[in-house]
Amino acid sequence: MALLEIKQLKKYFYDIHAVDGVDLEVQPGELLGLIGPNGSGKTTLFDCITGMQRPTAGQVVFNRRTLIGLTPDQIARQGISRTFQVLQIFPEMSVRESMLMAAQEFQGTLLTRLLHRREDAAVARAEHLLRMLGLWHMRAESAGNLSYGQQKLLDFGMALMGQPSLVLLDEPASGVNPTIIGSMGQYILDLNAQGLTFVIIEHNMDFLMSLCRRVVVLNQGTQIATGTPAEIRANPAVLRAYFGG
Amino acid sequence: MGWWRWGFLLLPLAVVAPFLSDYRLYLLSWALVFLIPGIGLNITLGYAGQISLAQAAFFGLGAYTTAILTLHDWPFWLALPVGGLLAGVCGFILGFPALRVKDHYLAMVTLGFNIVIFVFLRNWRELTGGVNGLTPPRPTLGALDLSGDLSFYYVILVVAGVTVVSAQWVVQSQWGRAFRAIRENEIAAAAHGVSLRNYKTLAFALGALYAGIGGGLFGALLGYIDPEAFSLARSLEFLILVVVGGLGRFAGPFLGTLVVTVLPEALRAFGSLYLVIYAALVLIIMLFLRQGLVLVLDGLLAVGRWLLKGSYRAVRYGTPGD
Repeated sequence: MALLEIKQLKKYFYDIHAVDGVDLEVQPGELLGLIGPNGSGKTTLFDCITGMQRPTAGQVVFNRRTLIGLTPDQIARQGISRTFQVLQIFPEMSVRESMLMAAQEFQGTLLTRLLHRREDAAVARAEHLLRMLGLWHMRAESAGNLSYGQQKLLDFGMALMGQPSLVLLDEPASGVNPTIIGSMGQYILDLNAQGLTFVIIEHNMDFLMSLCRRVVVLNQGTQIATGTPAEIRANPAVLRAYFGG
Repeated sequence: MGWWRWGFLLLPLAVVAPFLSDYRLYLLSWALVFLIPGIGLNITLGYAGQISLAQAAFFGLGAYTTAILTLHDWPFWLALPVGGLLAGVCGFILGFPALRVKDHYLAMVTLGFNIVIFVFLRNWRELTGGVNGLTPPRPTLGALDLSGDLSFYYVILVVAGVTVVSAQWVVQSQWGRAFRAIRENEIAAAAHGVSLRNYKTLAFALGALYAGIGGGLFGALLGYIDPEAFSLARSLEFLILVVVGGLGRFAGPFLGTLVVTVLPEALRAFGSLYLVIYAALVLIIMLFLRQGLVLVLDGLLAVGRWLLKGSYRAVRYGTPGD
């Protein structure tokens, strides 16, 4: 049984077919790469899964429940978290509080969020993640004062705070320095080994190909290839999509 | 912790009251009555970032509900919370348009709501007395008569204390954090599970609840209310209060209240020039202290800390507690 099932998903912006009939299954524990030239519909696909865009047609099923018609926050609480290609952070919150913010809606009820003030588990989890990402010394700093690379790492950390079962990463490595990319990749592999499922959009091919066992290629809103990194590298349709001809 | 500490701020106000002249006591009562809706609007606009030009409407709903009920022999202590709750429910409902529109469009929606309430208060004469207004009584507590100026001042002070402490609890809770998350980045907030529907309607409901409570006290303080007191101009006054004080900072409405209530009285000596000077002062504050008068407070606190400890630590903007 697939964790995430996308059937004939379409998203049209007037006559632009951003996503044009994508079928995709993500198995539990998978580490799936999603590549394609600019404008091939990768981010729009993420937007349709997470409820940020309403698909024109098609089905998205997660854990046997349809996600179509749910709001982004409802989908997040189903266990899907994501990062954004264009950073989405809380600039005036401290790094530490951003992490707690990313956790608080996943436990308790609306009433306990008013009445209960202790969040020891989230605090411990935030410390662990911030140390791992090398942001612990910045914990009291406003998120808006971090460098771009640090903000990407913070966004990545925040995506993990809600203890999701599926994480969608939209270009996690862009703008991040190579040493940190390496440790981020290792951390993704560790989490994946513990059973967490990832779908990763990335233009950094070395990074992506070293992580993923399966890669899906989109072009002009449709899936043109799927396979292991080695198969994808050798696929003529993929080469045509990227380099023309 | 420390959510209760702000209550102590009101202690000196309890001590000095018996020594004040009638005029000063009245002015202080007036200021405390305005502080309550100010704290409410700071939750809606300052923390949650949802512009509302309807604060006077909620203030009026609370004032009229409390007045009508007490005139029908309800005890004040029941009528006041009922007035607050009614305003809160209306605020909750007004929160729904905020799910569809933002910024100046939301300003237009809430402005429209204020006008609707104003017209309703003026035209439903059987209930509201129309332009003739109503004359709500002041409360008693058992055999205790609280209608004297000093004793009613203490009533206002206690309600203001409850407002301050409860609002401080809210903004320091996870609700307060979710409000700020929505203000700073709605997309990120939703992506991290924050229900925009729940929290936006809550921010409006809380802001309106406090406005309604303040309104109930306002009616009893004046002993007379008419629709003019709850027009759009009053909503703008509340807006000035929170913006000049400092949006999203707990100290903001305290300072803003002084600007809106005490400053005009202090300028009265200038006669007909007073409005010009008042407007110029507000303009200067907004030009040079865009984050409001709390910046002055931050500066003073930083200097004080430096003098005491020889160490300087800047207060970070948007810290939930301050």
